[in-house]
Order: sequence, then C-alpha cells, then structure tokens
Amino acid sequence: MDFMKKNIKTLNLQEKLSIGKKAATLRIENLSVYYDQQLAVNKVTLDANPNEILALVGPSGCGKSSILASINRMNMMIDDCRVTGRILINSENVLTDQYSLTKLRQKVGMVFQSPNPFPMSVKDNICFPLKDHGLKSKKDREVRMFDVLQQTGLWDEVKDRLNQSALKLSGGQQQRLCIARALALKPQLLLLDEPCSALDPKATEKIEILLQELKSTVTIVMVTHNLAQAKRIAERVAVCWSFNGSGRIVECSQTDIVFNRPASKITEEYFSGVAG
Amino acid sequence: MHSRDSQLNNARVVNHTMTIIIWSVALSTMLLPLSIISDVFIKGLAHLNWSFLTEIPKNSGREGGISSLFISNSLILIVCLAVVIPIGITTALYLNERVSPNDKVDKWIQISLDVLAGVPSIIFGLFGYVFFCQILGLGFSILSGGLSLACMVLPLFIRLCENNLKNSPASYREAAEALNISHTGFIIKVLLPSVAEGIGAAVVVVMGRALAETAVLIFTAGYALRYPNSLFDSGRSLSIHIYDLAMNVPGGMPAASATAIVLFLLLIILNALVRFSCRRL
Ligand SMILES: Nc1ncnc2c1ncn2[C@@H]1O[C@H](COP(=O)(O)OP(=O)(O)OP(=O)(O)O)[C@@H](O)[C@H]1O
Ligand SMILES: [Mg+2]
Repeated sequence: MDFMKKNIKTLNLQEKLSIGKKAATLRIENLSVYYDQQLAVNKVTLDANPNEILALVGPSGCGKSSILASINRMNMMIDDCRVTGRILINSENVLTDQYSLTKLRQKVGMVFQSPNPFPMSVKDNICFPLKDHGLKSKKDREVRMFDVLQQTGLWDEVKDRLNQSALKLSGGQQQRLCIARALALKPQLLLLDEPCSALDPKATEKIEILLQELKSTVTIVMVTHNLAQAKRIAERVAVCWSFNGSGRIVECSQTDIVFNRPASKITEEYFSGVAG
Repeated sequence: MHSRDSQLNNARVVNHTMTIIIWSVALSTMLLPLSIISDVFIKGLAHLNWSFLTEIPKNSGREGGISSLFISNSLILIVCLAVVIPIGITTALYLNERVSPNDKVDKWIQISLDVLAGVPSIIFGLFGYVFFCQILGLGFSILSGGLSLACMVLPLFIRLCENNLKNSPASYREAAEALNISHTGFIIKVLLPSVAEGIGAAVVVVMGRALAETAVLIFTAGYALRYPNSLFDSGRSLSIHIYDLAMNVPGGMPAASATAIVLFLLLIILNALVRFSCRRL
C-alpha cells in the first residue's frame, strides 16, 4: 500500500491535530428514562471528566445500558421510550431537538456488547462510514483507516487481509475493529456497553490496554460487569442500583475510594458479594 | 434394580420402533419424487439427444426438438424476473423500512398479498388475457406471458424478501444508527448484502414456479412453435409443450418426457447458478 509510506510522515501531524481537539466533558443531570410508563432510570446525576475512564457498574437490570444509550440518544429508536433531564457534552445540552443527531453521533462513538462489524471487508468497515459522512477523497479515507487500525493495534494483524470479510476475524479482533470504526469519526466521547463480556481474557486484556491508551484523546464511559476490570482501568467508578425497579446512582467517586472506603452501605455489600 | 433394567429395555424397544417408523416415512416421502423422476427419465432418455436441443419441433413436436421453445421460455422468464426482482425488492424494503408493523397501510398490503398469493393461477391467466393481451393490445405474446407470470409470482416474492429483511441482524442497524449512517447507505451497503443469499433463494423459488406454470401462459403467451422474432411474438413454454404433447398429441409421450428432463436439469442448473452468485456477493 503506497499511501502507507507517505502516511508515516503525516501521522505526526495528525497526532498533533488530535491533541488540539480536546476530549469531551460529560455531565448528566436528573436523567430519567421511562419505558412506556415504567420508570427504569430515576433522576440520575453523573459526570465524566475529560481524558478519564468512568466505569458504570451494578447488578443486571439496574439501568446501566439505559443511561449509556441516552447519552447518544440511541434509545430514541425505541418507540415507547421517553428520556427527561439534561445531558451536557462540553456544556451543551444534547437532549434538545436543536442539538442535531448528526453532530451528536459524530461526537459520541458507541461500542456494543457483542462485536457487530458490518458484513463487508475489514477496509470497508472503516471506509464506508467515512464515505457516507462525506469524506470524498479515497486517500483521506485510507489514511484515516491506517491511523485507527494502528491506534487499535490491529494493523499488523489485518494488514494482509484488508479486503477479506470482517466477519472472518476473531471475536477480539472484531471488537477492536468496532472500536476503530467508532474512532474513525473522531469522537470526543466513547461509550462502551460491556465491550469485553463476549471475549476471552487475552482479548479482554488487549482491549483494556487499548482503552488506557485511548483516554489521551477521548473521554470513555464504560459499562462493565467485571469489578476487577473497573478496578484495573477506571479513574472513577459509578455504582448503579435498582430501587423498586428504578435505577439510581448510589455512589460515584475515585476508583480506590469506591473500592476501599465506599460511602454507601450498598456498594460495600455489592462488592463483597452479599448483595446484587 | 430389575424394574430399572426392564424400563431401560422398554425405552430401547420404543426407541428402535420410532427410528424405523421415522426412517420409513422419510424414505417414502423421498420415494415419490424419485419414482416420478425415474419414470420420466426411463420414458424420455432414449428420445433425448443433441438434435433434440438444437432443432425446432416437427410434426406437432413428436419429432424434431425444442430449441425455439427454449428461447421463448427463456425470454418469458427474463421478462418475468426483470419485473419481479426490482419491484419485489423495493416493495419489501418499503414494507420493512418505512411502514411500522401496526400501520393501517401495512395491514392492507399484508392482507392483499396473502389473498393474491392464494389466487389460483388460472385467474392470473384470465386477468393477463384481458389486461395485457386485450386492453393493452399486446396480444398473445412473450411480453404478455412474462408480465402475467410476474403478477402471479410477485406476492410470493415480496413475502419471501420481506421475511429475509426481517431476519437481518438488528445489531447491524444499531451499529449504523450509532455511526449516523444515512438510511440509503445502510440499505444499499449493509442491509441488502446481508440478505443477498436469502433473496437469491427467493429468486430460485420464484423461477421454479414460473418455469412450472402452464395455466397462466396458455391464455397469454400462446402456442407458437417457431422461433420468436421479438417480445411481441407468441411463444410456447416448455411446460405447455409437455402438457400439449402428453394430452393432445398421440405418440407424444417420449418427446414430453424428454422435454421434462430438460426442464428438470434447467431448474437444477439455474438453482446452482443463482445460489453461487449470491454467495459470492
Ligand atoms: N426496550 C425496552 N423496553 C422496555 N423495557 C426495557 C427496555 N430496555 C430496558 N428495559 C428495562 O429497563 C430496565 C433497565 O434495563 P437496562 O438494560 O438499562 O439494564 P442494565 O443495567 O443494562 O442491565 P444488564 O446489566 O443486564 O445489561 C430493566 O428493568 C429493563 O427491563
Ligand atoms: Mg445492559
């Protein structure tokens, strides 16, 4: 690939550019999520600082995914879902109609529980969304693809099979491809909903290392069921708990405080395996 | 201990009996098509040779071959598919992408599709005769025949495509939504390729129906045995030829069976071709 040689030079420039573009600040205020009439998330307030990993933990059904999907308005796809409150990204409320979905989805990348690359080649998985977003030049798209594949540590693994179907990659590779695909749109905030729960420990470790590196350019909010994982990679941890079927945040602070000196009785019991 | 053994024994006997019953049922269902096929092959194989494929029918089809009918039938099939595939896929996409499941429009389209799919083919033949041959003035022609066939198989094709689209993984749609991919981009680059194989299978089913159909074509495409000069010429399909030779031409049975063999092989080849090309997508 001839664009590669030129690209080594441009890479440094690109890196400088992305340093100029800051990771996002996220603030969630009084967020409630209703499915039909049922209150699934009750007045949640939460924030994530730029360049940190915020882990969202808690038992199944407490509303973690609902909170996450509110941030990029994904749950608006669901017919009877209603979201109230404010979600501020860089101090702008994204839950208003004035905030365009295009802008929001560009600013906020999302990675799902099971890897879901498109049924097309590895290369097209990255280049097709860019093309769809109007990046006209083929060379620009390929440069961007090279960047994100490098960034996610996939380049060496897939450089000889760029034109093969992405569905032939291993689960871990597919998940990193999905992260690369999200990164290609240059988001400032990355949402991950249990990104490692379908992966083996080795592949999980690779993703954890990747996320550690990525936080220099994006703010990361990650839902996980794996407390050890939260402990390993998160700067701060938010504990979500279900009260009468409605999720609330019981505690949100520095990882070591949450794990060693939790302020809430529920957190203590949940972590010691008594509750949840 | 003893009763446990006898219980086990009983279970074994039941198990064996069931195995035998299931196997014999399976065998007998396979025997029926096998006996039909072998009957056709025994009667027709002697009549089948190269000139049968390259000559036009003589003496009402008792002698000569089926080359002109092969051309006519191919043209009828091409007209039919050229109409059915684009309209069918677009309609299925409309139903799947635009219309929500509880919508009134959706309900009415579904009901009319079900009704149309159950209408006997002879009705489509009569409709085609009145509408295409007479009102549109196309006469007995390959065009009338292909269009009438298209009307007959369209409801089935739409249904099959719609089912395929419904079964496309929801995770693709989620990913596309999160990446803010345009609806058109998603349909063309993700949704349709993900169901290409299923749509290929639907095309095969519809082709089988179209090749087997006689009632519709008798009224619309006519009986002519010569080579068609254009789509406005009348032309006989292979299945009508089989019907005519078997029912109306004394001594036509060998030629009818030979034609059936050709039709049968044609179906297998088309099936393989379509499946292969869709898998490559
Ligand atoms: N599409 C939906 N329609 C109706 N109710 C829903 C829907 N999605 C989620 N819920 C309800 O909202 C509540 C929170 O669900 P959510 O998926 O956010 O939990 P979660 O914390 O992500 O759980 P898990 O750890 O199992 O993924 C649950 O009670 C669930 O039943
Ligand atoms: Mg969840």
